[in-house]
Amino acid sequence: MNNVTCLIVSSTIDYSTDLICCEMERRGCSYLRINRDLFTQYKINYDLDRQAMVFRIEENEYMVSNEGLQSVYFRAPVFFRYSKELSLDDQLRRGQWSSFIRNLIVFDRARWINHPVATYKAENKMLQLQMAKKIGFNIPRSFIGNCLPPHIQDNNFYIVKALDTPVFYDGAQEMFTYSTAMTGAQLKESELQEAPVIIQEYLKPKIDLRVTVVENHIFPAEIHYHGFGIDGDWRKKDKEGLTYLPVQLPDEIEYRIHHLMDELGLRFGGIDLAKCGNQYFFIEINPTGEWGWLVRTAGLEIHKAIADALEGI
Amino acid sequence: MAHVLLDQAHKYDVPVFDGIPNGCVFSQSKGYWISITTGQPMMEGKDPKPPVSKKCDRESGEDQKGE
Repeated sequence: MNNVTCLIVSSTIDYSTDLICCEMERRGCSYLRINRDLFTQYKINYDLDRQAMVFRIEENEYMVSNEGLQSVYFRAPVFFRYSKELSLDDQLRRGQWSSFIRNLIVFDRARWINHPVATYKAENKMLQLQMAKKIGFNIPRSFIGNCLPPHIQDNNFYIVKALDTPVFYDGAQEMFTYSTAMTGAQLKESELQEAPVIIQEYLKPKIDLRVTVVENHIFPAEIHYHGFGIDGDWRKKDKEGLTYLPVQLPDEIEYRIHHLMDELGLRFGGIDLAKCGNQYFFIEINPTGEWGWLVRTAGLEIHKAIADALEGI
Repeated sequence: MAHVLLDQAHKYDVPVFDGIPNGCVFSQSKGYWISITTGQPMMEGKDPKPPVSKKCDRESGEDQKGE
């Protein structure tokens, strides 16, 4: 029986989790990665009296106990969407396994990165923006709702974005809505009534930053396209033209970032900032944000910081 | 008229991907993908090129919340 001190909850297609497992292996840690897409291949049993869960995976047995477990890397969703038509079996699996992974919070002595309850709270953009503003961040003037705010100017540009990850399925096609720049005139012609949106002041010119935070470590990277800042949503650009440049943030911005992380109860976060001149604007925080691409493209050793956090170093 | 989030959406064919990177096998005991040819961790090698990108690609997390 292998006694697990670090539980890694992920899926096999989350390749950045590989980097953490490689690092944990190098350090000789007793870790177990469980993958949501392979749950039906495992045999799992939780003994409520002993507060211990046994996983039988292939030929091996692993014991995860509340007493012995030190940390959990939780790379799994906290929301449950019905976005595709699912078979009865799929509905059963998704509903029950989703609940199962949420219930892993029974391991309440472990250090979670991040705790699902904190992630659930932090995923809410209105709350993020309000908290960031309270802490002292500049934020773009923002309105949230299903109608236009007053004083929209026809010739001014605004950013329109979704409150939640806007992935849709229409037959064989998938749809994703990036943050979109639109004029006030275009907005007045648009349908908003059916669902709320975020409408924000359009920041231009700007340089986007992705700031990955792991406990006390901050990894800021500017995002450039052929050496320049990007109008609108940088994710629309072809990847070959994008570069990620590690930078240093002013002390006061780092302080606000740590303050925000503390307020949200997060140990990990992917924060989007925009730099306009010498001013930094908070755009959003992603408690389950991606980071793997920054290890390779910007040389940021985020995986080592996560391993440190899991080890409690 | 479609809602602005649908009207402005980028539409593309659902990516066909079986979750298995070319030339790699997932080691459950190690918790990472291994290149069949080199025996090295996929994410630390150059062959095959590890998938690293945003949107419509294979890292999950913020893009697949609730999936």
